[in-house]
Amino acid sequence: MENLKEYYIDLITRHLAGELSPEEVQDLADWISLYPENLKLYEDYSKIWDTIVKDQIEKNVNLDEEWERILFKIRNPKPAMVSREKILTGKFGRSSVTKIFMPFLKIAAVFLILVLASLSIYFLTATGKEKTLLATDDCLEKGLPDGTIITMNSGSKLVYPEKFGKHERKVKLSGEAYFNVHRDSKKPFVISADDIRIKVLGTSFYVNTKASGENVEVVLTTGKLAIFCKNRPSEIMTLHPGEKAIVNKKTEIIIKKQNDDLNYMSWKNKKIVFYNNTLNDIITTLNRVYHSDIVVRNNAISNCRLTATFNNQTLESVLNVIKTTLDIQVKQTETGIELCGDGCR
Amino acid sequence: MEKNPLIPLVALDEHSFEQLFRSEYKGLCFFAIRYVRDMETAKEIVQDTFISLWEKRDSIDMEKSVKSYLSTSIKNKCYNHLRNNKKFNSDLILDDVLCEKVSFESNDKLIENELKARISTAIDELPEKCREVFLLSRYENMKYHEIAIKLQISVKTVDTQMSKALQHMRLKLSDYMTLVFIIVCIFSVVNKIMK
Repeated sequence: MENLKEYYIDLITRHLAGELSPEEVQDLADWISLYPENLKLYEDYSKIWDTIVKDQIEKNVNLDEEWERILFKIRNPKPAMVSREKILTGKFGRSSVTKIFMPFLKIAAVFLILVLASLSIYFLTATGKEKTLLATDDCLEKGLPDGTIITMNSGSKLVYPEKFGKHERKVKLSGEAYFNVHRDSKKPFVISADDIRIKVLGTSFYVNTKASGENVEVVLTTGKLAIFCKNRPSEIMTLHPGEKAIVNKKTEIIIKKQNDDLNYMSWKNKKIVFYNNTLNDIITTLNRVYHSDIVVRNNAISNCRLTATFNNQTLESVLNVIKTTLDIQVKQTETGIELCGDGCR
Repeated sequence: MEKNPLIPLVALDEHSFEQLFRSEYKGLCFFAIRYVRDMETAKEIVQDTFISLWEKRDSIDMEKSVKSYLSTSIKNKCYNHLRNNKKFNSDLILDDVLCEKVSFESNDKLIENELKARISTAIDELPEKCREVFLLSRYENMKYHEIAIKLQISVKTVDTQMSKALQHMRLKLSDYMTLVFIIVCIFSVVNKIMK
């Protein structure tokens, strides 16, 4: 008897995991309707499973990311198909004019079909031309053919094919970008930055191929990521959310550490957080986010500390807050902006 | 009886749409998973439904509640998905006919922290191999044969380990669940009396 119960518990587990064949489901359904205890057992396991699924959703679903994805699809809807009927009948309808044109139309149609057929054969066999995305003055956000959304900082360049290959989705990045990769476990998404490769199935993360010290920096927000060098594909460093990888382009050494820079995404969402940071550090971050040229004139104020959060503010209002809080002066010069003062308040 | 709080669709701008999205998304994912039993499929179906809602925002019947539109639409999409994947007769028989009707609660927090902590503890208590298999299945969304390949074990072993895991979870969580169930029942009875 125990064996039978074990067998059906096994069936229940597999059913909850979606691994049963239709015949096995029928078998399970029959067994459940046999005795009320069987139904109770099924319901018990079902409830536990629901709890685990809820926990799974809490852990795996990032509302901000999902919202961003939807927002993007709403703002960039696929163009609607124009009704074919309208094109063909047009203004003339079935008048005598169309009767004269019909044979020509037929020949044109056949010709068009032949051209389209040969073009599609060409496109199906080739992976398609390469496309380039260049972010000039400001951030550029774009959807790639597979549903991945990329946001690039100004001065960055992405090269990607018109149609992704069969086994991998390959792109080349130069600069700074944030990726929200569409999940496809059958086709890994691979980013090349010189000889360094970043490989994911479906995650969101930040890449900078021009980090200081000839480094490539990657910070992972959600999911899982693998980073390795082209010449040593077996030496893989895996990242978990909140971790940062720094790869030196020359030595090909990969270092992993916890990401301590709260503002690595500031260029994208203009949200900057300062927690007891020195003025020097603050200015470095501001220059990076706003592409400004701010200089601290006096050493006396370079170590003044500030705690503040800025949500999508202009550089002017950020500087106003700093000016008032730290009691320093802000001067506009020909080369940029200068901060001076006697000391910290 | 109070009227359902309707969101006037004429005024469905991006802001109220975002509010709706943020409060319902997780609950709807849970709702969809009960049918399709796969996280990624469920997410896609729920997303597509929200996008359709946005696209149809001017023409949807305002008498009906938005939430029931969403859940009906998602249920239909789930059925379509199961039919297209030739699984039509399977899962539907059990969940729809035998057990209570599947509904969804709109909560942006699906489970309380207390229960979350208990689940974590229960998972930690699992024997190593068992825990590995369980985590790969539930939190990495891998199918049984994928787990078998990754851990170099047979599918039958994956089966056995998952059963073991679930039996353990049932042992550890059911007393808490019964308590919660009783409290919820009392609460809903009190609510009905008060109305």
